Amino acid sequence: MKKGSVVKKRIFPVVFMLLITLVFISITTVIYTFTKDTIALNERLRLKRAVLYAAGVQLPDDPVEIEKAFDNRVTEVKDDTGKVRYFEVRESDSTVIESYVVVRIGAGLWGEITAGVGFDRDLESFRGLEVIDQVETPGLGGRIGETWFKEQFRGKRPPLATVPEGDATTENQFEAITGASYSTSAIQDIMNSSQEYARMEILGSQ
Amino acid sequence: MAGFKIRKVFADDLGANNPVFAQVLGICSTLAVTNVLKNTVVMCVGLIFVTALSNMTVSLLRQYMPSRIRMMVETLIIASYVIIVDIVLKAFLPDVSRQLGPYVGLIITNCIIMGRAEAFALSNPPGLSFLDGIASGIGYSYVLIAIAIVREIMGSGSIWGYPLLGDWWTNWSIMVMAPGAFFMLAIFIWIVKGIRDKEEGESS
Amino acid sequence: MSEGIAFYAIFFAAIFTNNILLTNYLGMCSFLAVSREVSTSEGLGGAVIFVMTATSVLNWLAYHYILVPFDLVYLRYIVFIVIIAAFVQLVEMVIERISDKLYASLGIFLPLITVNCAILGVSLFMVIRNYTFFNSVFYGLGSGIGWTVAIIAMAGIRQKMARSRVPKGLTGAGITLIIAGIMALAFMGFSGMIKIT
Repeated sequence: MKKGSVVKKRIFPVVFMLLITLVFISITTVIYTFTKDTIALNERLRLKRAVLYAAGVQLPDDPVEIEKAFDNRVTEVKDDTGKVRYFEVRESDSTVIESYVVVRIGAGLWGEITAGVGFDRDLESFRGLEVIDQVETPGLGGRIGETWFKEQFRGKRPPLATVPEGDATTENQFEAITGASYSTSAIQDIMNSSQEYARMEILGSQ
Repeated sequence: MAGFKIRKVFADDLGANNPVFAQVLGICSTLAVTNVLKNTVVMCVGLIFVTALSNMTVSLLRQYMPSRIRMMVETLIIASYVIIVDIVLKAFLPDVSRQLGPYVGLIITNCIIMGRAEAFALSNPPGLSFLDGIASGIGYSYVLIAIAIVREIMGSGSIWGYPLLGDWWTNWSIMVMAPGAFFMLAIFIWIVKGIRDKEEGESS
Repeated sequence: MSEGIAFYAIFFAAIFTNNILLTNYLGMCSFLAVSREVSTSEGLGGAVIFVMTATSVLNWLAYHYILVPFDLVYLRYIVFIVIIAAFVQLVEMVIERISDKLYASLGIFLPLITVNCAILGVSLFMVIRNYTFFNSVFYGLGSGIGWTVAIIAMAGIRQKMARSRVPKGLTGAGITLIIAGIMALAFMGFSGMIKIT
């Protein structure tokens, strides 16, 4: 009788908990294993789309098209350890390099901002910007990911200065996001420092 | 009989006992994403899925569950379903998943799910519990979706990402930011309470 | 890892400019329920600061030394919530044994904390933002303090307001949310205070 109650009170809950944990962890693991490849593909596709966008290549939002364009037009230049240093972008079936894209990381308000920055062949002016990863405040700093903000960098030249929304006139200015001065200046730093980085990586290697 | 019960479950969860209006429960995890309609809808679908299935699972296990570890088991069940939602979003809606960030995970601590498991699933059969989960999920969702619609229109001049109001509209940045959600929810509660008080006044 | 982000910037941002309660709406449930009196708010706030800091440490260790090496990152929700629940349970037991006084002032709030979204939220934000260990500690501490500041201020206002006349439909939750909105506006005024280099 006493033994039975010990089993019921102490052991059964533990066994029950272990069983439940086991069952649910197995279920989630199975689902995870099945979707793992899709998730990895998504990540890769994101990077490809970002590089093409930063290079100013206009594409429909179709995975197949993006894969095709990336394979035809983009070359990854890697260092000895296999890390990608920069991307070369060409017209399809051409050997002339149109533009370069570098991936840069900067410190935002909340965490890292990862951005792809596209340059013209001469590394003098920007082709475009794509924000690959950011964790800024949604609705405020998070707006660095919005199209109007990213589009304005096309054709601009470093060093860039910020002006209020709607006021950018010269090729050295870009419009800041109201209420998000840190996220804006993080982007400003990324853009302005990336020219030197690109020169070092690309010209230094030739 | 069964039909009557089902109807009662829906009527309760959508109307008089709507968790948001009656107790202002469970707004934490979702209120934050109500500045964009699309994110809100995805989040609400996830929430309905988790509430319904965890309700059903708890109900299935209710006879075997030792009461001492009941809360732990419920938390574990809810967390597992949330992980499933998270994985599925990552695989099939990567962009939305990225925007929602940690908020998907925070569905776990949404008081409504735990509340329904405790209050309903422990004393009702699985089928009915499943429906109750769906009903309370919907009752919760329509409030947040209504808030999201107003916030996106006024804050960004668009709906579901499509521009709606055009250039003449000056975006109310405050609507996209945090205070906007507080004010909107307060106004909604005010309106609903006002209507309800009026109805009560007329019937008595 | 984000070495470029200074711990003091995260700390102050978590308290003021990006208060976890007023900008991320986390911990609203207990916020609305408990913020009626200043003294209870202080008790709950103290418990939240303690648990938040401790669990962000524990979860950081679990994430970087168990989940990442074994490729189990997708299980982080379960692991985090279980660590939080177990930690809260443990603290409750310890406090109960050690000091009746402390238990009376802090212990009664502990069960409320497991379901406080802010605790889990801090852990999730911390790994998504890829913070270093040191940054995570200060992020947890700052968020706890920020949450406490907000709830105590709210309780003070609500105590005063008990004597004022509020439109009938707004009594209770409605007016609390409006105050929270105004507080969120006020806290936004702090932005610009922190310079992150």
